[in-house]
Amino acid sequence: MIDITINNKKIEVEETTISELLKQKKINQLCVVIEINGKILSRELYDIQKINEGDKISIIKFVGGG
Amino acid sequence: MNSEKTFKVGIAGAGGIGSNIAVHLIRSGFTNIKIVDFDKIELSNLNRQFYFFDQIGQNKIRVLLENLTRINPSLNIEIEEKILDASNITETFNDCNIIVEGFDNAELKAMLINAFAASNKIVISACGVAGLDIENITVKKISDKIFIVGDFTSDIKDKKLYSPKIFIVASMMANIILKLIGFSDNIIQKNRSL
Repeated sequence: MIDITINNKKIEVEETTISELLKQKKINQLCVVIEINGKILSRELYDIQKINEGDKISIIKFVGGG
Repeated sequence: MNSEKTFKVGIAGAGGIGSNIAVHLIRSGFTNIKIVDFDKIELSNLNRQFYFFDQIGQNKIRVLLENLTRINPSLNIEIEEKILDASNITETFNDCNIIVEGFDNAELKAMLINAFAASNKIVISACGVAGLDIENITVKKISDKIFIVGDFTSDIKDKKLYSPKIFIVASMMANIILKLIGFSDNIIQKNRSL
């Protein structure tokens, strides 16, 4: 288990990929923008990028309307 | 005008957000704009989009150009009738340096931001614009050049869309754009009038 921050909240998670994290949180990957340590993560890397100790992650989940 | 030469605003979607942002920019004197949409005007659009009853059934993009021209007869904005998706969005707005996300659909919103994330373009987007509560509307800035305006929770799945909130969000987005382009509060400005 590792300590990370998601949307400014400290949380303990398993060392896993971004893709897995989203699945665990039941978040639709197609509706999000992910920022890790100040940089937007490319979608192609969701299955590859592993979460590391101390990572600051922002998950921006879009909702419909415009 | 320096701002016209330096900046071009691309508006993806001519709906509630896109059409009203276009109005604000034109009324403010900024006309270097490209607007892209594929849709036709429907009765249900009139609750928030810059169209009129006698325009129902017509193509949004052509009608929006007409409506904007009635505000400024000398404007020369670019319009394109096109369905935008991940395969064409970056090339469509290649010559724009500020991109407005004016989609209705959550997946398209995320698609646009992700598509431009690696570029040096500024993106202004809307997230959470449904309903009547305006107290929680904020501006979130990510990755230094992406601005998202809204309450981040109000979804059209759960709440109706109303003109005031759409207008407020569109207005805040337009205001961000005007500041980025260099419009100022100064009363005496050269070549700013319509």
